[in-house]
Amino acid sequence: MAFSGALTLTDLNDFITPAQACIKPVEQTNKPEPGAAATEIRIDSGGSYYEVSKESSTPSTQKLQAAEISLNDCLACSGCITSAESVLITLQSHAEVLSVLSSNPPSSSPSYRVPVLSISPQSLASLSASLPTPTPLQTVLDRVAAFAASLGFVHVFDTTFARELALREHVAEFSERKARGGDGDLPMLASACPGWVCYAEKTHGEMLPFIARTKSPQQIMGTLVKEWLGEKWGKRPDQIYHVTVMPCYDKKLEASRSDFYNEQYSTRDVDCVITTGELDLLMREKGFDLCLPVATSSPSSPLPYLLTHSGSSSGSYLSTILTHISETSSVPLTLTSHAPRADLEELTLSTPDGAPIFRGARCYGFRNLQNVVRRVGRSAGVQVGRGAAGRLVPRKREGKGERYDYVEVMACPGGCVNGGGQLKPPRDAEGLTRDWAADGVRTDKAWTREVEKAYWDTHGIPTPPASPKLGTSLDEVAVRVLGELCKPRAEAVRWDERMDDEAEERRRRFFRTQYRVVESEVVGLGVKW
Amino acid sequence: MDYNPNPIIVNPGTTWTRRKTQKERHSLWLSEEGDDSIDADDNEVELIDGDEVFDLIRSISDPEHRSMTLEQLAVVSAPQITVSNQKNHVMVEFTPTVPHCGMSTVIGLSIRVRLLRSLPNRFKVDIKVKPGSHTSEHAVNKQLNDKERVAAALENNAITEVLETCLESAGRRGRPADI
Amino acid sequence: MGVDLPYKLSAIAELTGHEDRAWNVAWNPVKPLLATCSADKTVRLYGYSGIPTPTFSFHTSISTDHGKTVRSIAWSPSGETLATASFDSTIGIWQQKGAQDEDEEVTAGEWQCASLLEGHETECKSVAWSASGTLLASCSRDKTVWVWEVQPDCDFECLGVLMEHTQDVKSVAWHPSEEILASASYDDTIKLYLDDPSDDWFCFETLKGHTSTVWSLAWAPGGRYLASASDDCTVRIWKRVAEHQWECVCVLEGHERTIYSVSWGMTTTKRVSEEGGEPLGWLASAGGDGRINIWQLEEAPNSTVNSPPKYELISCIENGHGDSDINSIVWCPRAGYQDLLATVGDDGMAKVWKIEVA
Repeated sequence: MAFSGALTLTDLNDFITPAQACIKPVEQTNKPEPGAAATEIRIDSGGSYYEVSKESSTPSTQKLQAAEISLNDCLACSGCITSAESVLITLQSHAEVLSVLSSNPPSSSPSYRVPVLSISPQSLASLSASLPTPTPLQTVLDRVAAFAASLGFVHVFDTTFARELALREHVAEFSERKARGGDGDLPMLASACPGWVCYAEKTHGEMLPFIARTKSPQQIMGTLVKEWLGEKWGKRPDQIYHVTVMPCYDKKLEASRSDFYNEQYSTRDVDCVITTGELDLLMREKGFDLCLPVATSSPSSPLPYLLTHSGSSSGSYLSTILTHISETSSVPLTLTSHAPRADLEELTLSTPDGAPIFRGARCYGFRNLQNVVRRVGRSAGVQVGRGAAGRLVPRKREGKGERYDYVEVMACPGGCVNGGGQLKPPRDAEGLTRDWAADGVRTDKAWTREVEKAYWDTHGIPTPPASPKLGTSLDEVAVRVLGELCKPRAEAVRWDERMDDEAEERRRRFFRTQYRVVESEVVGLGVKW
Repeated sequence: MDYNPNPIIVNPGTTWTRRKTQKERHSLWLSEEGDDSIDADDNEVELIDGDEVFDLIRSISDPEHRSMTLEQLAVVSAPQITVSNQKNHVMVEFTPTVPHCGMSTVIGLSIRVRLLRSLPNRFKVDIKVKPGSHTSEHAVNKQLNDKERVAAALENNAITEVLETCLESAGRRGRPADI
Repeated sequence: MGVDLPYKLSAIAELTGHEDRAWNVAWNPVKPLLATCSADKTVRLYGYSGIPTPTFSFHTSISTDHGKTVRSIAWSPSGETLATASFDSTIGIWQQKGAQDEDEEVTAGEWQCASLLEGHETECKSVAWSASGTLLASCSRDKTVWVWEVQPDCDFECLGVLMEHTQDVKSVAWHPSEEILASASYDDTIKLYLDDPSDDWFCFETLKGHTSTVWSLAWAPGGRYLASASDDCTVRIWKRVAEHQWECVCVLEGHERTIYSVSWGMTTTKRVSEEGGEPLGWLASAGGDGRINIWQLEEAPNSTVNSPPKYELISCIENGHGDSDINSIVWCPRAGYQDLLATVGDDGMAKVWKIEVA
């Protein structure tokens, strides 16, 4: 098994890492009868297993299949916390992308699939930071698009418009939850990080009601490409091959979830996810130099592109909700911020007389995530985890004023710019010689700061300011997507208003998802002890 | 994937080395008929030998091939057992059926549990795979002789279920199943 | 056997009651209380009184409701709080109802679980309070070491999840005065950690030398030395040779099976020789061979930065718990009782030993 170049396990300190080796049980299907032909298992120098028959006069050797573990096995198993980083990932690899593209019949053929590539802004930032000179994200996107076109991709998008829709839906969901105000409604926890979602499903089922049902930008991009654009192109979902480039391995797991599988057309909203590192590998394998300019034809994109969402480089979820609350408040609100530790920032909105009306937090990394789980469990009065707590003294719930209303949870320290699938410093051995500090921890932090800078610098904004008002034309496109996908009976559609029941049903299908507790199904023979 | 789909089977020995004089004892752990423990008398230290230890473990079932015993698969044999009554020490060496056998720790654990339940307390037991017989020899040995890991494993229902199945046949002590 | 050794160990109490193997024993640093924990999922508390040879009596038993073995226990420096580490992968925090009227008195209030720390994926093996009592460390077979900060109202916040070991972490121990944490592992190494105030907890040193699992750690009372006990049947002494650097300066042999526990005490008993250097206290070790060894250590005269301490085996007893393994050995830290040692074994028993001139 070979990991893609971007990943070495030692880089994963404080990421959510597998708790133990994969325990996917290996079950015997046909028990041999006593007295069956004796065979031996031999292992060659390459580590392959061979079964050697010893009984027949001419010994035969048969290569044995290695057990393969699919991403769906990982999703259904609670053996690891999140397994993506430790498990054979063959279904979603850059080799798989090349294989699909090369076997794609001509576009005239009915079985031709339109190849579409969608790349995340964090991936663009990582690529940009790896270049010797500061390069705007737009330029990086143009070059990636040129490279993708050379492979056969017909459309290349970035995922910021999908994120725009995710943010709108996120705000709508927050308003719904706040209005309901029942148990399990608040705090609302971000849902864009699949590492966090997987971890919660496997070890903290009590957190699931709090996790936003809104799909992640990747999955909304899937809906946009396969449902909305597909219809415009006159293509069914299964006639499109949709590849995303993400900063994170766990996005592969996310795309594999059964919720994002289209039964009718036997296809997924996102067919294949590759990481930034895998894209980089692909470019280098094909001899494509990202440093060199490309001829840009600046084609008219059907989607708004490279939208900025100020606040955080992990999607600006909290920031967008803060903006929404400030803008819809009848009184002017003051924002105070408190950052007790690295990767933890608490933001509070207060009325002029100092009463807090909203408490939010940005919380990244496994360590801070633990505290969020503890705190949410306490404030909501739910039993955290599964341990023996029979004698635990019941404690009074925190007052509403003390609890979080929203938490932007991300599993990686530093957030998505520092995702496990991003490029590692320096870009490669033969090329750039950057003078990163010698010690590992600082190197990673310094590198993450570089990527963070690349993420924002494009727009000449040193620090993210308060979110600007969204442009009118953008609003028009967003509303049109909602209207055309959900088909409400009413003429006028708004993201922050309920539609008729049937349209809302479609909205749930296109923009929301669900979570479920994953129970361990450990078979005795497979248990690690 | 099978670790070893077609193991080599040996003829079990026909001599039963089981001792005749043993008092009945009902273990909390086992509900088979007859004795299973080598019990020291109240004040007299009873000496045991490798054959007796072999008797205790020969009929443990293989976790992968439940119809066969460790003896039948040549995983355990009397010569691979060393007993020192003076030092109160028992060393059991076993031979995994294939060098990459993933069941080795379970086999070793079943031997350990059997001896834990049957041998007098005074014996310290070491269990090892035969040198050179396993690709992860060191790791397997280390785990089997870490009493904390063993103790925790025995509190894991998934593992004890497997172990109990393997140990069900242990009381046969070399006799065929139909007796 | 050590017939000519200058000190002898006498058992002054044999405390029965656990229904299964006893794993760990801990002296309350303030009150006359001894706690033991066991695979039977209970913690037993014993009181004692009388000088110089106290008598022990059963005080109470806590049915912890841990789902599995209680592997390790630790008293907070204040003596008010007890932490339990269990194979059920949680850490329990225990306090006594109405315990504020202490004055070194043992009150009768019920012990209740004030907090439960979750996060470890598999069996918790050890738990330890920092010298100030504001930090708690825990470790597990999941290969991680967690640092928790004590918050008001018995709440805990996770400050760090240290994923440095490649195997099962067996034990954690805090430096007696500084916020330095040590962990011992099945990967044969010891790791030392510090907090970076502007960042996270990090590992600043890995101590290699043992050739098998490191089971137990004990800091010398002064904090300059660290002792480690291993499955390789040796105790190693590590000396601080620079601010953030420790080196192995000697290897003590004298066990025939795994050493499960080591404890470093500062006894008030008179030393054997007067011509030695600065006394470093007494080191006790015990393990699978049932033997208890006591070493006296002192700084060598004319010692240099990395010179080894002088050490001498001053007492030894065989079969401390009959045929059973000894799982834990601990010196009493309280003034007036520093010549007492407690042990627990696979026989489920706790024993208290007094060390005296032979």
